[in-house]
Amino acid sequence: MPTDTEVRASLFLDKGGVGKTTSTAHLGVALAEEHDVLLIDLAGKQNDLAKHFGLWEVIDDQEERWPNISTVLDKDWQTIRNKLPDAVDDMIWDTGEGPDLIPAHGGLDQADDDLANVPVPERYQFVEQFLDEDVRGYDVILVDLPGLTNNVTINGLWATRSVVAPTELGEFERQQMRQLLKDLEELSTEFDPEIDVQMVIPNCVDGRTNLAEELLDDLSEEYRDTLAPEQVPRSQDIRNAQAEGQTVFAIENPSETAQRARSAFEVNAEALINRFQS
Amino acid sequence: MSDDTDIEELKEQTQKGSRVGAAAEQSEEKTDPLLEEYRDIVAGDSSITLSFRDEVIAGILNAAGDDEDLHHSIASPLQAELDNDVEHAGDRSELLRQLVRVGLRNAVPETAEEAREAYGQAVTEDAL
Repeated sequence: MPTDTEVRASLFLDKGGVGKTTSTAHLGVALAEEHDVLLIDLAGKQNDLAKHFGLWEVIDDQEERWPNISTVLDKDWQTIRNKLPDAVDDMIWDTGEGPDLIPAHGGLDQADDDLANVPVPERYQFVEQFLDEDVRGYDVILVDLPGLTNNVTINGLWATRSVVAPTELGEFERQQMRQLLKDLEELSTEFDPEIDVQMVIPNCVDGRTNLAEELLDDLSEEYRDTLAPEQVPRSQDIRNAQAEGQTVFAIENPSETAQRARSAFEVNAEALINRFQS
Repeated sequence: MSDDTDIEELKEQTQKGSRVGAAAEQSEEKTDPLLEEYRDIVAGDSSITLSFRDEVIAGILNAAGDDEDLHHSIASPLQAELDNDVEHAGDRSELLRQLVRVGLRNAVPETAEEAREAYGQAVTEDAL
């Protein structure tokens, strides 16, 4: 479990394309202004979080790297760690924008399949054990999860016990938010870890449309206690920055929407810390 | 075993790949043990003589050795099942071999078929 002074959160909604990776990267950079931050990518072999920080080519060249994050999900991980004292340090990359990163690996697919042969609840506790026993020196750990619920996803939720849910403003996303709450309640009931949604972040908001405003009002009403203080605006600069392997914080001449996005991530990051501390 | 060897073994055992790659590997592994054994047998590196103790079966085979009608009554259906020449009665060892083959074919037909294919592959490889 997280210690009293450590913040852990999973970026998760059981749906692709809602901005989990973008939010992980930008919240991570915003938080790194005042905290030691580690980002962990469990979202899959495409390694989008590494791409977001321009590390893709370097890391992709080392696809044979071992141990890696998928090794952590193996029953022999503790033996490996004991034999290789630098194993964890060797997994961690400097993003160049503040946070450190443990990138994804192609082996996460097979790791997910292998976990099916492990009895519960041990099946879901590998990442928690890794964070509890092997990862040291970070105030904040953000875990980017897949956009579907599999064994790897539950490992992330179990380890962090907290969810930050980015969501676009749409009917599908609203239904998926409700499903997320049901799923977390079921997980808590069946296996006992209390997993809370700490923050719902309206993402990619196009403030020019009435529909967006209506959906935002609905969301505010439904998630009054957990809604992020700032919505993140749709910004072409975010996409451009991604394509260049950086966040909007690294853009030299940000557009107005990029500046608003920066500000939103900073305000939400501070609110997230405050919610944990309270 | 050195520490380096330990690490290499651990790496081999725990390095994970794609879901499709892992499935393909499992599929290959399923036929490997039989093929490896048949390669050894064809090369003369593994024994092909079997023996076991069983009073009931020993009684039947001993009696069949003394009584041609009893031998025929056992051998005929076995040979028919195996599509062999019914006229070729065979000796005690042949009778036992057929009993086991029919048993394998009826009880574990998939394994019997995999064994036949693996044996064929081993013989072919040896002839090349």
